[in-house]
Amino acid sequence: MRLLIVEDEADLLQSLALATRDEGYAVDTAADGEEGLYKALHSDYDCIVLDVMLPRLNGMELLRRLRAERRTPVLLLTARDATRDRVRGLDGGADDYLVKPFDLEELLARLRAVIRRHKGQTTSRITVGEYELNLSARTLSKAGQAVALTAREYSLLEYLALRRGSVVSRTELYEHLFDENDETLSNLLDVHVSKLRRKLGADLIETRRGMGYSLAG
Amino acid sequence: MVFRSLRWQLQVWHALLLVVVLAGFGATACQLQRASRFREIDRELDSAGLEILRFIRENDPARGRPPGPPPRRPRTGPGRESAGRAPIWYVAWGRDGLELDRTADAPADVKPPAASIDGSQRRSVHRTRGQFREASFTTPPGEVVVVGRSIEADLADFSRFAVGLTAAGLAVLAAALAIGAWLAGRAMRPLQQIGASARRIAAGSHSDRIETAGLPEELASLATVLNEGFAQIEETLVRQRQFTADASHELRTPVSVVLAQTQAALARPRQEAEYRNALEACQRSAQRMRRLVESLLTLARLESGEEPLHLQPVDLNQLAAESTEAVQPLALGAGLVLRFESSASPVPVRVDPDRLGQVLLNLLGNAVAYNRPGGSITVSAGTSGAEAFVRVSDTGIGIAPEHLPRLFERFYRVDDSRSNPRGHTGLGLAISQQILLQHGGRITVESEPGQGSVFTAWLNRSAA
Repeated sequence: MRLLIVEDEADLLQSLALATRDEGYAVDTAADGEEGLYKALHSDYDCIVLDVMLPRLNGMELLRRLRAERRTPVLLLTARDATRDRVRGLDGGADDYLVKPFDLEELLARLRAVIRRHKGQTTSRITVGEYELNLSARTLSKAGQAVALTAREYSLLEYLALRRGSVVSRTELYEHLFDENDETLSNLLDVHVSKLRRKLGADLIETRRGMGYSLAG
Repeated sequence: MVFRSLRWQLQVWHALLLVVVLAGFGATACQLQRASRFREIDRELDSAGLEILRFIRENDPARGRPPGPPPRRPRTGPGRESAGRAPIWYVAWGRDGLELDRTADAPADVKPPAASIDGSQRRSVHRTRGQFREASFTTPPGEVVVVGRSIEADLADFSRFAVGLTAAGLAVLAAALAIGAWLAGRAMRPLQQIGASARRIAAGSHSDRIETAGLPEELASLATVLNEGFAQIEETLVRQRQFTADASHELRTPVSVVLAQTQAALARPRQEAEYRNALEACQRSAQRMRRLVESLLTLARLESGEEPLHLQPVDLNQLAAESTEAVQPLALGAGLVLRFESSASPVPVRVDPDRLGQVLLNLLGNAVAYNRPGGSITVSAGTSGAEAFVRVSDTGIGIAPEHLPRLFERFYRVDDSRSNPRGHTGLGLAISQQILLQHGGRITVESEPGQGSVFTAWLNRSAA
């Protein structure tokens, strides 16, 4: 999953990026509204964490302009907690709303929920063959036994699971699994896919030549 | 309690006044009635008496005419009798004091009036004796005649009249009191309404006001005064609430930094450098909160007037020079040119130098922070009329006209974001203004977006 965090308070931005990367997200950051809007319009993010009060272009205006072109889910962060402000945020096209100060736990849970809902998944568990994916704990198990995965492997599997039944292009996978700072070597994806196949069995992930990958429904 | 009530006091005074007026009026009416009736009786007695005197003169044996039978009240006349009045009697005495004549119905105890014996009285003298009204005449030779009649019926008339008058007076009093009570109630109702409104407002509906439409003029002006007071209280409350909201809002960002930094750092084992980074970020946030708290306290103390000013004679020119010197390293670090244009002569003022220094440092700090690369700042001091001033001009980003009126409000931000440089709490200008107001001075700003801003602190000039 790929995130964009737009926040002008450097210390907050840094810790949010650290915490979300720990969770396996590919994270891009922007320190003001203009940079944030540019990135939001030019990449396909799974969610945008957006501070309302930003220099150059405030969060509400950014959201308005983004909504004219994209449906990317947006989680608003704000220091204003009046009902009026929350209503304004949600009506302005935000998918969820978090008032500062907040706990990272809550931010991460809301992020998961926003992304899940956006992918049409209502529960936090997905069953793929004999495996079960727990989206909130970010774990994979088979018959109650945990299967050890790296963060990147899990992210790849999770992305395919959320899109199960359809073919996901390599470009899309690159776009959603790696952030702007990752060196996207062309065979990096193949490495992760083959590792997953070794752990979970060769036929779980199908390769559609020339199109991408797909997870058996 | 009842007698503390304005309404009851009004009623009591109203009743007392009415009783006095009615009693006075009634007594006067009785008196007038009595006097007029007595005058009538007296006239009646006088005319009867004159006829009797003439008769006596004509039948006087001493003047050579034998006494005949005295005329039997021909002088009372049919008209008088038919009026239903008491019959007139008389008694006559000769010069020797012996009784000459008397009518049969004259009371036995009638005596000639002592004063008339000496013959000095030529006119009739009237008196009331018990149930009788009498007129006495003295002839020049010395005969005395007393004419009288019973006034029993007249006295009874007077009593009836007085009773009637009292009854009428009581009726009027009762009616007036009833009307008075109604009027007082009516007059008090708006007061009660005002009281009810005031209670409602005091109980928490601070934006309510007393309805002034339809109130009598005096009460309307009272209500207007009260409404103005309520408006002021409401404004203070709103400002207080806004201030609290703003202050907590300002604290949210540093608190969220501390929370996010610590939670992210503690989520899993980290490198030493990462812990260091987290601690440094927390420290920055803590410093920011400290500055905010200190500024809030400063402002609160200034506004409550808790800390008095330590006024002393100061050369404003020198104070400005010192402040400029203190900010010089900051300006150099930011790549700005900071100039001080000294006044030709000292600028004497009476101020608290610490407080005023705070104002200057704040203005200079802003001039550095909101400048542009390669810009400059000019500081000058001088006098203008009765005022002394320090001026800080910068070549910075300037302030749009719509922000100028609210610039000195607490937490007012020109840009609705935290694009402010670190260390700015949004309270600096509010504090500066408060300090100058406390000195009896003021602060003004002129600005042109893109050209720069000029802040001027004005103080009362003192004699050199």
